[in-house]
Amino acid sequence: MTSKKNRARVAKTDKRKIRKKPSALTIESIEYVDYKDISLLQRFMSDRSKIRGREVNGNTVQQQRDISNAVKNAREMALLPYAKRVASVRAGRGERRNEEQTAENTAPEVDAVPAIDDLNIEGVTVETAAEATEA
Amino acid sequence: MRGYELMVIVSGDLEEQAAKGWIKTITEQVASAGGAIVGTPDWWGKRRFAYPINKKEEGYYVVFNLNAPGGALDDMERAFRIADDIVRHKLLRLPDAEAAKRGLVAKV
Repeated sequence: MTSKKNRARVAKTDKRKIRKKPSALTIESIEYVDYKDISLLQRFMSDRSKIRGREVNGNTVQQQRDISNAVKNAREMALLPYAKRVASVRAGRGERRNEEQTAENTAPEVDAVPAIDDLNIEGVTVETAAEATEA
Repeated sequence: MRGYELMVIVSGDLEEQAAKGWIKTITEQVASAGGAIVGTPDWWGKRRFAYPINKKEEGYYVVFNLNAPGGALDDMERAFRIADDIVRHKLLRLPDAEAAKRGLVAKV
């Protein structure tokens, strides 16, 4: 059992290592993240001016903290916005999304119902098996 | 003595000359607190804010690198908060490595 689990873990970590792209901070070997360097900070932010996640940025925990503190300092000094509205883009996308969602919600429900049934059946069989062993 | 970085936003309603006058007053205040400004202050000029502050859209930015004894600048910061012309300020204690890189005292 344990060996199988370990194998699974190793495989997972290998995949992650391949995917991982190092942060711009490590590539450019920046030691001190300056809150005045807006163009650098913006590379770690989304178009709505939110700080992207550590996994997305490829930052280490320490780097992400440096970035987040610098962004917060820059925001206090009005160098970076707290939030940016992308109103026109958002409206278009939102409408489309809603349409898609309604379409998806109505149509795949028919497909989804049998899937849930399948799961239930599996769960039932497992339970009965457990009961059988207990008995 | 410790290395600091000070950024000050002077109200954009002022004339540029009047705003630049703050450089002199800040230099004097730092000196009277027992500190010293290193290098020439970095005058960014008038800059638009990322969001309106006190119904103002722009301000003059100045950045100083300075050495001062710990806690000596508290009075100056209080004066900044009271002064109407200063929109915001930020005083950062620089890490020793960065202070040394900028030609400030690392640690004495």
